[in-house]
Amino acid sequence: MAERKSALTDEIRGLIGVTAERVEANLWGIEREDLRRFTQAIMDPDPRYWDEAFARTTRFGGIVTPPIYCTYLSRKTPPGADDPITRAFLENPNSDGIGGVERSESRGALPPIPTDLKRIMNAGNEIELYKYPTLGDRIFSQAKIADIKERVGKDGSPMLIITIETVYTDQNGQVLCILRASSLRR
Amino acid sequence: MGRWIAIGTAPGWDDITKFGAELRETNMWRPDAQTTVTTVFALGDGRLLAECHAGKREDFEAWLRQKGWQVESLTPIKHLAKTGSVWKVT
Amino acid sequence: MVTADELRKPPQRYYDDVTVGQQMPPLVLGPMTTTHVFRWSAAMENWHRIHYDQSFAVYHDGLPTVLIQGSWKQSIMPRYLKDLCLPDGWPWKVSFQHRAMIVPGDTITCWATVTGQHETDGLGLVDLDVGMRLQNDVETCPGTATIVLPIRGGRPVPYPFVPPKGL
Repeated sequence: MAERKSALTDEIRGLIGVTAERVEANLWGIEREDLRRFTQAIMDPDPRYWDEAFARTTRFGGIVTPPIYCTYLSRKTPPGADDPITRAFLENPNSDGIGGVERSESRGALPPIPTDLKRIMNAGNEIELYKYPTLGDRIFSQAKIADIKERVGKDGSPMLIITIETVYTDQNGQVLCILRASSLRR
Repeated sequence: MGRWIAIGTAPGWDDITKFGAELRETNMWRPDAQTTVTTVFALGDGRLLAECHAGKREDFEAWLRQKGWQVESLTPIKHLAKTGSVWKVT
Repeated sequence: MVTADELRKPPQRYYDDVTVGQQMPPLVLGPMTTTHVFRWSAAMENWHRIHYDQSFAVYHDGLPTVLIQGSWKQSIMPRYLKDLCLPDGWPWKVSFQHRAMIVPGDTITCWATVTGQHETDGLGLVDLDVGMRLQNDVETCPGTATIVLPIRGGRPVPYPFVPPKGL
């Protein structure tokens, strides 16, 4: 019987634990207007997000933000950058709209996984919460390749499960939350 | 994944209340994760025109039967133009 | 839909009052519409056409219609746990999988069932099965979670949260 080649090569296994640089998520940190739009988009009217007098009476001592709000800030286009939408459609008139954005996000990026398994599917998410940032806080993130495992599909084909762990901290180094995203490559 | 247009009739579907009741919720238009009836026109002459995306033609036929359609024709879509975009379908 | 006033002083859920098998009160959102989906894409600056361009979603990606964003779902689950813990508990951790898509027209019910509880280092840990179920009973987001509830007469749940020793 022919031996199936393992997808978890030594080169790929050597990437486990690789950590990217700690980067700041955005220019202005946590601010009111963006926070308002976010809380309305998740339909959470919690006054801890906007009523300062009330928020001061809570255990948080002031306004806080929704659980993983701080993890979305780096997805926004920084001021002065090339217009990613125009770039995406110049490159490809039938673009999906985000092609131009993906290319510009190289800060804090992890090395690509050198595999021929090109199909990517989400394989689960984990969230750990420690503190909600407040207005004026600056947000930093650091990503790590936490684990890479091999699995064999029902048809015997090899699959890789890659878990990326991102730790979000504030300007004092306080851990705010940790996200782990697993993806299946087949 | 294929795309077809069915033309036919179904009793009472020229009445918008019955038509809406048969088709209202998007998720009820999905016999399974892959099969969707995306658009249905009720024409002025009493005929219906439905567009379906399905894994197999038989999936669309099963939906039409279940909905009580008298099918006049069932034809694959070749290409279409919609809201400024042109799509090659088959 | 929960109101701001309801969230100001929700009655505290204590570790002592929770039992294995107990169903937590659900959070219902929806029916979702294309406008809800557009609002999230705008707030996030998520320009992916499958969320607002019907023709692209259908003819390019083979979807039934535009989709609710996975990134939105990812915030709803911890938000639900946050509400269950208010005012002084802590929604420590949750893990889940994206199983089925959510589309405009769907109504989402976030649910949680207690599967275990244990007191560790003076903190009341409660384990939950969680999910986001649609009106046609499809489970879109099955998962598990651990929340920390105060114990009557016990030490306050720390904030910022510090996991109990030994875990």
